Amino acid sequence: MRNYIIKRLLLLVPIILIVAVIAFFITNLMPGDPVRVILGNMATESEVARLEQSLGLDQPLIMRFFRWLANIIKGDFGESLYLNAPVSEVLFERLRPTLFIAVMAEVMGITSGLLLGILAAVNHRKVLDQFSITLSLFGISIPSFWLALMLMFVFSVNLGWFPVSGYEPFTEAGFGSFRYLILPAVTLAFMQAGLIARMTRSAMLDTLKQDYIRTAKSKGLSRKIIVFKHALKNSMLPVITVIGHNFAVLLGGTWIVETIFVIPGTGFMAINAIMRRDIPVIQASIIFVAVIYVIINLFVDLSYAFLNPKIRYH
Amino acid sequence: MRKEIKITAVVVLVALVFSLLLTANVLAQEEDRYGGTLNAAFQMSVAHLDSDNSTDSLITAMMNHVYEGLFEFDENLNLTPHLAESYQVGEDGLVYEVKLRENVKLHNGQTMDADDVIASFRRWLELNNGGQLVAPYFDQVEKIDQFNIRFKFAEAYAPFLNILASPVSNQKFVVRAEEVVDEFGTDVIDRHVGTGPYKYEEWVPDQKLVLTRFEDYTPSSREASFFAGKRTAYLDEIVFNFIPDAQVRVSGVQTGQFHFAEEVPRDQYPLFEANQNIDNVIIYPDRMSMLIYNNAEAPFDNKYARQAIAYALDFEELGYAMIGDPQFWRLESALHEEGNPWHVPDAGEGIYGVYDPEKAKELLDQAGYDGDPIVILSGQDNQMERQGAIAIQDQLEEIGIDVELQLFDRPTVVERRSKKEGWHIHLSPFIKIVPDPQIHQGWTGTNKWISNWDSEESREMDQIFAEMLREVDQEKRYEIMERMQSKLWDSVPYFNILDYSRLHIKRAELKDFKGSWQPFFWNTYLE
Repeated sequence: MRNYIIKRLLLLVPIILIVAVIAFFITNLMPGDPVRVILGNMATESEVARLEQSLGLDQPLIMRFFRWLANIIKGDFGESLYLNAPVSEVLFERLRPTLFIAVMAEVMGITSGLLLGILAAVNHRKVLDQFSITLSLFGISIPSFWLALMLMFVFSVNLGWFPVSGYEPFTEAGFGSFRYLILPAVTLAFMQAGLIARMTRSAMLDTLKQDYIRTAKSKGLSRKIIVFKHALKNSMLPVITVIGHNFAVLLGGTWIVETIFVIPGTGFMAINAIMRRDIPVIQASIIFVAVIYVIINLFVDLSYAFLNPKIRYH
Repeated sequence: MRKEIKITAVVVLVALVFSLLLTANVLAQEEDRYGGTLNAAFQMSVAHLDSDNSTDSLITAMMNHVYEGLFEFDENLNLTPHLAESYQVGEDGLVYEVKLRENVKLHNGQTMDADDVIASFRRWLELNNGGQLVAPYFDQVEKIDQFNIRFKFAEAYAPFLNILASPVSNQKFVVRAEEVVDEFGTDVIDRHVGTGPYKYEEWVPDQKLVLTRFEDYTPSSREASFFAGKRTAYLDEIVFNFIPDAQVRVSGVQTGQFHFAEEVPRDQYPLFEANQNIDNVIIYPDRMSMLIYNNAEAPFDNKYARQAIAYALDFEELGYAMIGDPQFWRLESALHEEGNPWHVPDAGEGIYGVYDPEKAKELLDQAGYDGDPIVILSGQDNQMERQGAIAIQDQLEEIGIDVELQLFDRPTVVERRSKKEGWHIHLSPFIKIVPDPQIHQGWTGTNKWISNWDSEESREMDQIFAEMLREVDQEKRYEIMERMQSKLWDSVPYFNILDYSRLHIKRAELKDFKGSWQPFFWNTYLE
């Protein structure tokens, strides 16, 4: 097992390297000139040339690539062209609200998704099952930008329960900072819950047909024990896979939700960076998401062994 | 007799008490205006707050609260001394002597004097887009004494004072503390010490800018009118929030989280009208929709082809397509709006708004247009640019022109239009408030801005601007402006399709707000 983990961690290096190379060339070859965006509409050619020189953008692409690669190996992602600050510093600052939202959404999504899935499976072909399927279908189908605006309209504009936008760090506002994060988290959780509910339902239905469940029933075990101890644990493998993969999707979802609710997280930062062609920030954002994706996949794979002792990694 | 005296005394006493009560009431009302935090929602953020180091005019719009100019424009675009007390211009236009207001406090507690102005001016001259226009003609700035300065020119530069107060692309000259200028030099300033009614408190990139009242502010004694005159800081704090999504800005005003929102969807105007908590703010003059040719690329290297497009377009139909509701747009051929001292009423007569597709075809034949596709390059994020480009494509195709539409996000458009080839027509919003016709020189003339105009006509235009530059007599300058407009509509390197307004909204409790070309929040208060 230990060897497997080390091997997987070592595999991170070439994966990140490939992502880095792709990120560098895509961002540098895409149309749009960051210097002209920074300088504004009426910038003169001499101003453009001066800024290009000071940002090192007048150097040949291949030279910039090797310099950049050498720097990121040292952990230096360069300076943001727009924010005049080191990218790693900017990324670290923006990580907290994103993680808050992502974890809140994940907890809400897993809890409600599992609950809906179990209810649907144990009430197969009954009203609760239909209700659960319909709700999860909504969760999967509704685009997050639309849902975000609708939640804002109902809970912020009409009911006045939450602010429409903004963010206050926990260190300054304490639990008050959650007021800003609940609607974004619910938006993201809705999709998560839908997927988890559907997966839990189908896995549970399969499991509930197994011989050992029939044996458990004939032994006279209570329904609660059968469902939660025997069926649920054995249904968790595909559910965990969905949860893991969707956490990465959820991080992508924060890009939209953070932009709508103006939460200064990594997603909002990345969208702004794309709009301004802040190349170092875009590159760091891509690498960040790739790292998260690979690490989550590793955890998902490791959790299989925990859930099913028959699975062994070599 | 004694009784009469008694009655008179009582009347006088009552009148005295009454007037005292009235005065106390007025003072109390004035006192009631103070306090509160104003939250404003702006669409875009900025990279930094140093106006000399960028042409993004949002910086000036926000930092007008922190910094002030020697001169400012009033509601009618009259240039008014602000940090300057008075000024004199030499007859030959080579020398400007400016007397500064005394006892004006900077945010660092020191008194603003000639040294602060000179240090700020030298930096402006070197870095600022407006300063760079002035620099080739400028000789030197001299300190006469602590509160008197002399600006000397090598060649006459008539628009000097108007450019010092220009709201266009951060051209405005503002006074900063000398110590800050010395500390940062040409680097981007991130410590802001000005003389304005509000002082810099906090800047969170992409999120907010917080300003707080400057208690020792020394207002001008002149009557308040837009950027000129007396500024009173009633609000304790102003927070500029950067909210990219228009609907979120609207929702914020609906809930009261924001007191002001910049640029909201015009189609929601009736909804705001029906809401008693929200006031619509329509600014005229605000923007103009400019059609710019790539004058270096055939067929638009020929003026007949350029004229042909003006005849081929139905401007009124374009207005409905680009903007929609006619209360937000109006046809206007002149570069300066009606009421502006530089407005030329009959600009473009005979060509502007004359929809004549047959004449357009004739002119295209005259220009030798061979039927190659015309590339329209435009932005896809802005309604005016996107809808306008689509409508122009439709109208040009009606007269048999093959059009290729290229809609991109802003960075891509900015990059592509800076090239000499690959595009023919570009649609761009221009700020309508231009306080001096000389400012048009930045995009009108030989190889100016993106038009790639380099011909006999462009050199004639350069001559007109050169004349305008030297002429210090206002009437004669206006005559030159008339010639410039006439030449512009004859050679059409670009033209104004129409003027349009953006829609801002504010909460009803925000009182005495004056809608101007750049939003400002002094002299306004929260009820």
